[in-house]
Amino acid sequence: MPRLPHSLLLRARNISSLLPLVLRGARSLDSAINELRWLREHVEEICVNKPEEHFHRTLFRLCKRRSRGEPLQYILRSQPFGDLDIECKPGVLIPRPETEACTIHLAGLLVQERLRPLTEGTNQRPRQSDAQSSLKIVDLCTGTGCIPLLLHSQLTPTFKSIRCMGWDISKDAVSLARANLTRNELLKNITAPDSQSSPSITFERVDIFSDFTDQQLRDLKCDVLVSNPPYISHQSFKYETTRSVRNWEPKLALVPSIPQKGGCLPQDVFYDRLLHLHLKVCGSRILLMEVGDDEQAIRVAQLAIGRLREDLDASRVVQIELWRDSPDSLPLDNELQEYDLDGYNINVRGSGTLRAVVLVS
Amino acid sequence: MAKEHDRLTEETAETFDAKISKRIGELKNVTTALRAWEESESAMEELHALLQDPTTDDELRELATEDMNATQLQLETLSQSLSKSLIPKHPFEDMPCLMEIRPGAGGGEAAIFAGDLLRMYRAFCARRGYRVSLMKYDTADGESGDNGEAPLAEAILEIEASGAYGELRSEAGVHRVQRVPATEKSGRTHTSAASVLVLPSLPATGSSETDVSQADMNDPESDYYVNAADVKTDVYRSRGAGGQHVNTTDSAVRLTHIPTNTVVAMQDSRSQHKNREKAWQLLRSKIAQAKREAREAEVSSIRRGVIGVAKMGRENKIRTYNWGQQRVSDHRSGINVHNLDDVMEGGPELDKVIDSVKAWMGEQEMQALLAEEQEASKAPLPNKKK
Repeated sequence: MPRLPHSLLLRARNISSLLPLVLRGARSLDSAINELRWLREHVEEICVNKPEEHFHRTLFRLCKRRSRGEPLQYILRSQPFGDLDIECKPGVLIPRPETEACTIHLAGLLVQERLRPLTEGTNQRPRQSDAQSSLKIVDLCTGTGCIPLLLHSQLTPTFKSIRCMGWDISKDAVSLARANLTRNELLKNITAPDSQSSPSITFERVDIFSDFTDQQLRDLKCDVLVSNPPYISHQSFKYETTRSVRNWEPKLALVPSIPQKGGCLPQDVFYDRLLHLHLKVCGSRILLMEVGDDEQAIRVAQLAIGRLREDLDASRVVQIELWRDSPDSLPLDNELQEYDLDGYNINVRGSGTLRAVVLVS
Repeated sequence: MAKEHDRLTEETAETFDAKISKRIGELKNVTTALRAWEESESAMEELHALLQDPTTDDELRELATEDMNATQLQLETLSQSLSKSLIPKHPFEDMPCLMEIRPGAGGGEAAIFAGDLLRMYRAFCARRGYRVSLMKYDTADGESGDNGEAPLAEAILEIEASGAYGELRSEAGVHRVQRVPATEKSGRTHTSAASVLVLPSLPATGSSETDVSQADMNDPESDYYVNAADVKTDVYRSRGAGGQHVNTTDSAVRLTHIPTNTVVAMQDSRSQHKNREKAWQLLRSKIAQAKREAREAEVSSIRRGVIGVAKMGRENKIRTYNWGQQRVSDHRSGINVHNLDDVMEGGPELDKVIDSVKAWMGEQEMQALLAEEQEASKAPLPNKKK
């Protein structure tokens, strides 16, 4: 990590004596100024009716933590995600803006499709009639629970009943996800179910590589399968992640540590499993998998094509799409809008790094 | 006009049409003013007749004279309100608004004054019961003040009360300050300035409270329409892989409307999603205002000749705040008030100033209309309207 130039630290010092501390964590002056403002607002909130000295001491303590590279989201204990406010705790991955963009885009597509069913492919599979506008969504490796919570809040106005389920192997993640459900119900971001009906969002601790119980197999049946699994290789964890990620966020959520099997790279093992679950177990019609970079996106797309080829009884037509960082934006001139992989024509949405592989049937 | 109002009211009784009811709303002010005026006028005539009548006894005559004076006064105020209601309504009048405050020439002192103006308008809105939120607060590099905050570079207030645009649109322009700044060591008086821009605020999604519906925003003819293809979005993109590799807090969003080269940037919220929404709202407002101004510039030259002064561009100095004399002068209406502190606290004295400007603006509009009317009657038009 390059050392911050003295001139920059001096400029920060001239603006506020706390800024050089924040700058050490934030690494750029613009973000440091914003972060200091957010820290100040946060401390103002928690120090209401306390002496001013207390305020300064608390703020200084938090800035000091930031200077050691601790993520701001852990210090403030939250991160906005769409319209939601997601609690963050050490031990659970912080929701990323790329995930937010993908999730919002997916919600938009589901709403659009519901309002104006796509004509293509209707002969393969009868669309749900208006009476049964229900949807079940499963999110694997859910972490803070941000994806199912946001999908639920975005889709509630359009769908009559939505069931969301999030699984994670980490106990901390599952309890945090449950806490986030309660938190956002209290904030009225998510409508709480009335006491008689069963909860519409649930979180369970499950290892998705284990053999599932019958109940779990039933639970997995869904319309939409989503996942932002660990996808970083050991090598790039060492050299490509920032210090704040490497030192403070859980490696379990970043680097797959599953014994390698089959023909895929160690960082791709989750995708292999997800494709299997999507095609053989869940009966889902949409699969959204977040990936790390362009190369991984192509590898995963090829993996998917291989799976589809094996599955020759395939009565369904499956389209593969690649989504970029901002799937809603218009592509730049130098960005490919179409890939041709092994004779498969793959559409690309949006602009930025390839961020997700999507299977739609 | 009263007839048209009656006819339309009748029509809506049968078929409810949003457009007709809107027109009724517009005519209503005029017709109520007109009716009130007509009533007093006829009362006046009756009283006249009573006075003329030789059979009236003295006591009654006295009462009638008294009554007549009162009615005379009433008539004056009524005719004023009638002429006021005849001035065409500004199309954005009923909307909530955005107020952008930026320091102008004058360095650190201008930034402090911009902060003072921000506080003034917040206090004003609080007193009026308008809901206000700070949509954007950008600071500049430089020496921080006593409170450890960097100097203000740009602030945008969102005033979420319908009609706020009509109330505050007279505030747009350059506000000048003359005082010994806090930053000045040797006690000299400085002159610096801050500019205020007032934009109509468009709701993110069509709400029933305002006239602007979602359909308006999707209609290319409408002022509120912005073609998404014309807008370039810049967000923070990490070098390298992004995603799980970094946990950035950079949530800034910048939108550029390519045809007009309008740029808005938003970085106040930790949520990129919220920043994007706010940036779009601001961009829509700016473009709607620009389109409206462009249309106004097209109206006949006679009108422009009169209204030229009245149309306060953002470059015109509109008001001076003089600390030494504890005075606030508005250069348009010519009003002087001497309770500077109350003005800066957004108190009733500020109302006085704003009201005087509004009255002045109304007069200017009226004159412009008259000038236009005269010009039109001079020219022999073949198809003159009835």
